[in-house]
Amino acid sequence: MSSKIKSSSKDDSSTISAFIVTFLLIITIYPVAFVMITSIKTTSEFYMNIWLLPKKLALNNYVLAWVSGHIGEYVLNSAIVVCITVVSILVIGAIAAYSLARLKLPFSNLILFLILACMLIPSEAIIMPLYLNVSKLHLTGTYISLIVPYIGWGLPMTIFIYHTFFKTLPAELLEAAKIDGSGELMIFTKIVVPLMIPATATNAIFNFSGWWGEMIWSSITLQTSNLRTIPLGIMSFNGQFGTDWGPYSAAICIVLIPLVFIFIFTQKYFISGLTGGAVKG
Amino acid sequence: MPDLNLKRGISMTKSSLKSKNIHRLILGWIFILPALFFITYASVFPAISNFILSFQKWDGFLDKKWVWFENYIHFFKDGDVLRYLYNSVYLAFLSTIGAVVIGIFLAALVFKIGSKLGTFARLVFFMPGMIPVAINGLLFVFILNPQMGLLNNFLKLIGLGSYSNAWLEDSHTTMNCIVVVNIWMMCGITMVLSYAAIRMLPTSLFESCKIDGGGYVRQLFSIVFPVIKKVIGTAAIYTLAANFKTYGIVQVMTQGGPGDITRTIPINMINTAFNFGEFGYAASMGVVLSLVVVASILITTKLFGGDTYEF
Repeated sequence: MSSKIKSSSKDDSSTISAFIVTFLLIITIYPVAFVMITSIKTTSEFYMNIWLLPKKLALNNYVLAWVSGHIGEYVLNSAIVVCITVVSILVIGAIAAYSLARLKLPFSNLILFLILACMLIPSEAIIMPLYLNVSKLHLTGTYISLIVPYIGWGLPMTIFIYHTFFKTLPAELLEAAKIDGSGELMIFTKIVVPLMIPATATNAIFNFSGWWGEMIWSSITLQTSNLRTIPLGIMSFNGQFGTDWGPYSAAICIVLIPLVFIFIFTQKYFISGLTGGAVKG
Repeated sequence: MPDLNLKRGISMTKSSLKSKNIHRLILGWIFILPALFFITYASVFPAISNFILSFQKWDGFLDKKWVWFENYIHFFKDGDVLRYLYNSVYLAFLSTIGAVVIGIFLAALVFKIGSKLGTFARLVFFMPGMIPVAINGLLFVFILNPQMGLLNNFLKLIGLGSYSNAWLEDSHTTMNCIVVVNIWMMCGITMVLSYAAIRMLPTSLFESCKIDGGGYVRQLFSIVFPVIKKVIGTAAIYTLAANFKTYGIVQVMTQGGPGDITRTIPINMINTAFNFGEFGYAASMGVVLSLVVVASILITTKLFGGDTYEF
C-alpha cells in the first residue's frame, strides 16, 4: 500500500506490527521445528536434554515409524483413496456444473440450490444410516466404502466453484463454436476443458486437504478392519509408541513435511478459491 | 442475442435446431446424473433415514419399533447428554470467537507490514488449517505432555515452573487446550479472507482517517472492521461450521476424557450407537446437533448482516 502522506505514526505502527508478527511467527514455527529436531534424536538423548540439537542423526526413528509403525502403509492407503476420490469429484463435478450453468436444463437453479443445501447437513446426521447401508452391502473396511461417500460429500462445494467459473465464460465464445457446427460435447471438451485449469486446481486442492484428514466416517467404516488411513493410523500409532518421542515425532514429520511443500506450491489456488466467492472485486 | 439467433437461423433449418436442443438436454441430464447419484446416496438418503430412525427404537438387529418422541424426551432429560451438547457448543463458539478475532488482527498486522515478511507470515499462519486434524492434535499432545512437553519445559526454563501443569489431564484446563488448538488451526482462514478484503479498500479511506489524526488502531476499529464486516461474517460462518466437527480433535487429544469432561455429541453418538446399540437414540442426537448447527449459522448470519458499504 503506497501512502502519499508520510507520518511518523505510520512508521511506528509498521514497526510495532512487524515486531508482533515476528514474535507470533516464532511461536508458530518453533513447536514444529522442535518436533523436527526431536524426530532426528534418539529418545534417550531427548530425555537427557530436550533442548539440545542431536549429537548424531537418529534416522532410525524414521525407519521405526515407517516400518513398525506402518506409517508407509497408511500413507499409501490414504493416497489411493484420496487420488481416486479427487479425480472422480473433479470429473463428475465439472460436467454437472457445466450442465447446470450452460446447458439450460429445466429447473437448473432449483437443482443447484438443493445440491448446495446438502453442504449444510453435518456428517453426524448422515453417518449412521450410511454405515448400516454400507455394511448391508458388505463393503465396510474397503477402499470403496470411503471413496463413494467422500465423492458425494465433496461434490456440492466443487460444483459450486465450477458453476461460478462457468458462469463467467463469455457466451460469445460458446456461441461462435456453435455456429461453426460443433456439438455441445465437442464445445465442452475442446473449448471449456482447457480453460478450466485454475478452477480445477482450486477444487483439487480443497478436496485433497479435506479428505486426506477425514476422521469420523473412516473411523466408523474401518473400525473392524485392518485398513487404516493416515488419521486412524496415526491414532493407533499414538497408542503403540506412546511416549517414545523419537519415532512419534518422526511419524508426525513424515505426514507433515510433504504437506507443507504441497501447500507452499499450491497456496495461491487455495487463497483464490477461498476469497473468490467471499470478497467482492 | 437476437442477431446471433438470426445468423444461426440462416445456417440451420428449423428441424436441425430442434434436434440440437434435444441433444443438448440429453447431454445435460447425462452430465448431471452421476453427481445426483453420489450426492443422493451419500447425503440425502442417509439424512432422511437418520431423521426417521430418530423416531424409532432399534438395537441394530431386531425389528425397529416406532417410539415417536421418546428418544428426544430421553435426550433432554439426560443430564450427561445435555452436558455433551453444551461441550459441543462451548468448543464451537469459543474456538470460533477466538479464531475470528485473532484472524482479523493477524490480517491487520500482516497488511501493515506488507513486503516479504508479510507474505511469509500469511503462508505460515494459514498452514495449520491445511494440516490434518490428527496431526495437529498429535503435535499438541506432545507439546502439552506434562513431563517432556515443550510448554512445561519452557515454563521451567524461564522460571515459571510452578505454573506447569498436566494440561490435558487436568479437568480445568483440558477443554480450553482443545479450544486453543482449534484457534491455531482455524484463525488462518479469517486472516486470509480479511486480508484480501482490507487490501481491496481504497487508500483514500485510510488517508481521511489519518488526516483526522487517527492512528492505525483507530483506523482499524472505526473504518476497516466495520467496512469488511460482511467478509468477517463469512469467515465466522465457515469457522463455526468447521468447529462443530469436534470428533477428530477430541478423539486425538483426549478421547473425551478425563472421565467425560471433554466428551462432545459426535463422540457420544458413536459410542451410543456402536457400543450400546441404541441406534434410534444416537440418531436423535445427530438430529439435535444438526439443528443446533443450523441455528448457530443462522444467528451468526443475522449478526453480521446489515449494511454493505459501497466504495
